[in-house]
Amino acid sequence: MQSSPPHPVAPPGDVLVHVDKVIKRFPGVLALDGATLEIRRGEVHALLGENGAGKSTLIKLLSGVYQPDGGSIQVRGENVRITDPRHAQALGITTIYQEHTLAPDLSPVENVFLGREVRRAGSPLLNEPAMRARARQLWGEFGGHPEDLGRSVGQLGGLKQRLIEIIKALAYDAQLVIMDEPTAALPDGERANLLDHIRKMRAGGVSVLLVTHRLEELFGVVDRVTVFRDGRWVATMPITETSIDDIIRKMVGREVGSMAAAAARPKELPLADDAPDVLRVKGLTRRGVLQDVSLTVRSGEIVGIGGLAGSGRTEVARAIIGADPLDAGEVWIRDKKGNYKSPADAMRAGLVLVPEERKILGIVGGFSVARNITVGALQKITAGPFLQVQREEAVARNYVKELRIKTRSTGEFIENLSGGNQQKVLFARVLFAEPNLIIVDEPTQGIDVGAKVEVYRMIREFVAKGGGAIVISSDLPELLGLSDRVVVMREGAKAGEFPVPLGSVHSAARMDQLQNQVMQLATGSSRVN
Amino acid sequence: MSISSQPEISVNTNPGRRAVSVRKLLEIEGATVFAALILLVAFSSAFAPGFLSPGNLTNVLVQSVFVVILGIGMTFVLVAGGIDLSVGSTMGLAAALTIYSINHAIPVPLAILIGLASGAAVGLFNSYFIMVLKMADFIVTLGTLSLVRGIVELMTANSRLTTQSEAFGFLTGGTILGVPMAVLLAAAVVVGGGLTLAKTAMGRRTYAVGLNAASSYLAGVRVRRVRVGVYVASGTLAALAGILLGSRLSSAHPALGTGYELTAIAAAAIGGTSLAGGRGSVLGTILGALLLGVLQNSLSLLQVNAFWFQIITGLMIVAAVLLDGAIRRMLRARPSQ
Amino acid sequence: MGAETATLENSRQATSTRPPLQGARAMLGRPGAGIFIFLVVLLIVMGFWSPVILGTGNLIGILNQMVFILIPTFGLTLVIIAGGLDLSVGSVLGLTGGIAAYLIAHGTSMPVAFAGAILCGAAIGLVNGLVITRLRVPDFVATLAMLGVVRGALYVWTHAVPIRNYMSKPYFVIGGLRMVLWKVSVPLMVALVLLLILAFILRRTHYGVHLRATGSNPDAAKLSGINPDQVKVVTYIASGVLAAITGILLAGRLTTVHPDMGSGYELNAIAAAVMGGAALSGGRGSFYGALIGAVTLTVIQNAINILNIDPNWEHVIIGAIILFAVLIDRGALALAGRQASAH
Repeated sequence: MQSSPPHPVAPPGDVLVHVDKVIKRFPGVLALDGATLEIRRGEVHALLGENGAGKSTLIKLLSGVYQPDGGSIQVRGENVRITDPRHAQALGITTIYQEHTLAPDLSPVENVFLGREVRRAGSPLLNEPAMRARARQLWGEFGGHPEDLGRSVGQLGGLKQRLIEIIKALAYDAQLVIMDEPTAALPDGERANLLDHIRKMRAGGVSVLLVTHRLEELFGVVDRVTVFRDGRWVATMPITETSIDDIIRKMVGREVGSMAAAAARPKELPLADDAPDVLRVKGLTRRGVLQDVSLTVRSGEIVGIGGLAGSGRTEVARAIIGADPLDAGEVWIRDKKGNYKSPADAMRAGLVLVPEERKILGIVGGFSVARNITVGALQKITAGPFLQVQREEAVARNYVKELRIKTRSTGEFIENLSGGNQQKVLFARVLFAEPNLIIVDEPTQGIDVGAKVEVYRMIREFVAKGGGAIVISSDLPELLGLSDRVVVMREGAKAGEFPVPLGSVHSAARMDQLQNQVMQLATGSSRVN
Repeated sequence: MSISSQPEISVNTNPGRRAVSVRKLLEIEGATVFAALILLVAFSSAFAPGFLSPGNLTNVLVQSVFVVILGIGMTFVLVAGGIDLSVGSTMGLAAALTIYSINHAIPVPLAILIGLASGAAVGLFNSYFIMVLKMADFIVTLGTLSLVRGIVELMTANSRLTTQSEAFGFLTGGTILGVPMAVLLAAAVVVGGGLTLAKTAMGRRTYAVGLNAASSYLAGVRVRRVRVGVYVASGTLAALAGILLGSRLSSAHPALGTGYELTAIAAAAIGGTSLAGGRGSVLGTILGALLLGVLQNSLSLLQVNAFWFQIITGLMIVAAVLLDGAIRRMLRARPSQ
Repeated sequence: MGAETATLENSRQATSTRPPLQGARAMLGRPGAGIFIFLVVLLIVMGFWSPVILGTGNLIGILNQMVFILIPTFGLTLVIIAGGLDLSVGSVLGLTGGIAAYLIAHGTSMPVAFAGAILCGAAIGLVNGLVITRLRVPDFVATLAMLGVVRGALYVWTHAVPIRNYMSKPYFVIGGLRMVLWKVSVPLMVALVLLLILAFILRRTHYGVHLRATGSNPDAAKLSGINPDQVKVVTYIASGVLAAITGILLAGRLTTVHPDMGSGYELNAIAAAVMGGAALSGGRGSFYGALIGAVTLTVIQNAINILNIDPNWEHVIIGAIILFAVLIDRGALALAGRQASAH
């Protein structure tokens, strides 16, 4: 992280948007309960809170998707009722949502001007040259190559798509740009780049409201942070006067040790020196994706895979379980060779994956909790060709109890559960297959702090019983906390591997050093202080 | 709309047994189609002359056999998230091939097997284009619809394929213990298909694939096998329906089976199968097919212009989808304990 | 290719540094480019086989004949770009043709009769659109139901008796049975005018951008202040109107409206639209592509005629082309994409 240049913060009196004690109810839920937020001109303001704290609801109020049930919103000192997204834009407020809000089949220029195309006077005719010129100018300011503007947006990469969304906001002459998890889908290198662009927007006098889960990103970008909890305002403070631990404390409302400590191996349970190998992977190669990746996991061990997004972390996992074809390499599980052709084959050999992107790749929406647990290993609840529903029910009840899954019943649709509980159901699914080794990709993505701790506990308990685990994570404290050993990927190849000594998490200096080691290997740079 | 709001009110005001039982009834798949079928049968019994005569009832059953069999295959495909527009053409192909084989001195059972195999082959062909070449189901099976129909036309155009084979005619004309063969065969398909979809691991996986193929795959479901399976099942069942129709007509003509794909989809949709995948049941589809069969029969007994049938079918499809959506929203909002 | 060429020229001016090959690659990326190449190859091969095919008379004949598939294909292309599907066009075409013929046969003036037919087409499209957007019935299901309802209505109304005795001298011209301008029929002229208008709207106006945005990502469209439901309803109305125009023209061409007029046209139109590069997932499609798709279908029918091939091959060939058109189009796209990403 580079240090931010000194910048002028707007005088305290110059408030652009003031949200005053707003209330928003949904059937059965009070999403916002007198929440307050103040955004000044030309500042980058972070809105933080656990899932369910009311951040998304507040964004939707400001962007006109919802209207408040109480309280008031002032823009430039005037009370406003923001009726729809267009109205918000007219007020100078533009929102860049987490889900991509671009039309992939349209060109960047068309996307930027979507809904308010520049037309030739008084006709429906498009004034293409005018739009193209404006887009090129803005695109150039963000260092984009003009040729990109000639393609359709779907052909561009993640960062460029984000930049187009930013340009879209700026082309609306936005005074406040709201960004919901702007860096979520970006590789780390591009993430830093995007944060630079956010600084650039501030330099241009634009206010930015940033909503993010990545607290470490705040420093150097953000001027002030506001923390919400349970739909209420908790604190607003300059970034210079707070710390990650302080923010987390305010978010969860209770004292929690660092997440890394929660994940860490207990001192009284060290990894046995003579533990046998559970998984051996040799020379895994997939042309253009993976190159000669080898690793081993021992019984009782957690091996972490770190690296930037797009470095091949997830691809290693997919290749091991046979989800993607291999060009070369061997996968051995407990001295049995198994180059699996599909995840189903791998599962039968005791190798399972809890994937990233839970909603898309994890849960089977429309299935009950019970059905989600059994779907991968139905052969275990069949007699002849027929399913035994009672056995399925018993299995599900058992897991719900054991993993403390909060659900009304085993027959509840999985999409009605919270993210953390969905993740627990996915753990139940892989545990039901009685695996030798579990691979967990981004185990705590988008789940709240309490659920995170429980996920760590489940992984710990699994390896304590003799299994092995691979954990893939972008969250460095989590990665270092969980892992006994860390493998770092870069550009599809293994960039390095090192052990994490027992008890490292309790030393801040040691953690800093290990984090630096991961980043150095991941980026291939040695210029880390 | 009144149907969707009524039980909610009773749930609110009276959480007693009656409200719960309405909910329980609605949760049973096919309950609404069944109610509609009962109403229609009651209406027809009262007003359509001769509706209840054994001869007429048998006739309704035999007439419905083709759509029932096709509809079951279609249900498998729809539940898995696909669609098969080629079944009508496949009917024609199987009928033509079977009769052609019989006419070339191949024993009837073997000829029937050849016909069934041709249906399975069409299913494999469809799944190859869909799975390996990753094309949209709709487009692939639309192409196959045309392709296979062309083959049927080539086979039957210059020489109308007819047969006098008694053994072949027995498939639909014969009875065992007074029950027509065709109905027995359809019943076997119904039982087999119904059990497979509702009670077996294969059936469960079919739903999983239709709901979320990507996560099912990573969870250990052999998605490809499921997809190939449903298209082969659909093709084979279409072939069976075609062979039965050929047996009933004692011939295969170029247009045999044309348009049946839409009737089969209609039966499935009326029976509560979702075209988006992941929802549906064999029972619902059978009820949908029977509803269509009874409707057609009653209209003709009442001497109503036969083309009203198309209009009513269209309206029923939309009504079924709307009703299903309303019930689902209600059940989702208050899941039962 | 008036409007599209203009776009190309504009973009070439904009990036004059672009190597010349880039233009050809950009062409390959256009919807329907693959099938266009296929059509050209097909014509050349046919020409070697039987030079008659490439004769001016025959080529214009093909175009005159193709119109009745082409106009409904325009409607399908519109609906498909917006992310929908309209199976009812064949039935609408039959009913509206019947209405026009019936009104004229019963003494109504021709313009009024035509207006009546077009209004009916628009009304059916409106119902389709509302059932889909308001009642949230899937496009396929809603228009499948409409296919049955409208066809049934036509049969019930006519008692399955064909409508005759509506032809007049001007209607012969309108139906394309009598030419007024060399060998070019009125239906062909109508189709070409529609093509120019629609392509212009798609490429040159904000309506076109909104249409593509709706199919490509309805949520994005909504957040940009576009009402995707409204756009969809309009495409269904347009599809109904275009089907009605086809019905009027076809009634003139056939001189008798049988109650099954237009049955199955929906599948040909979908095939032509898809061959022309329209993606059923929405957001992508082209009216010139639709033209090429319709021409390809008709060329095949024509070649079967002229080459004395068993006419029963027609369905086999069309089926095969539907299957391969997508692959051809995808191949062209992949080629264009690979070149683009190489930079």
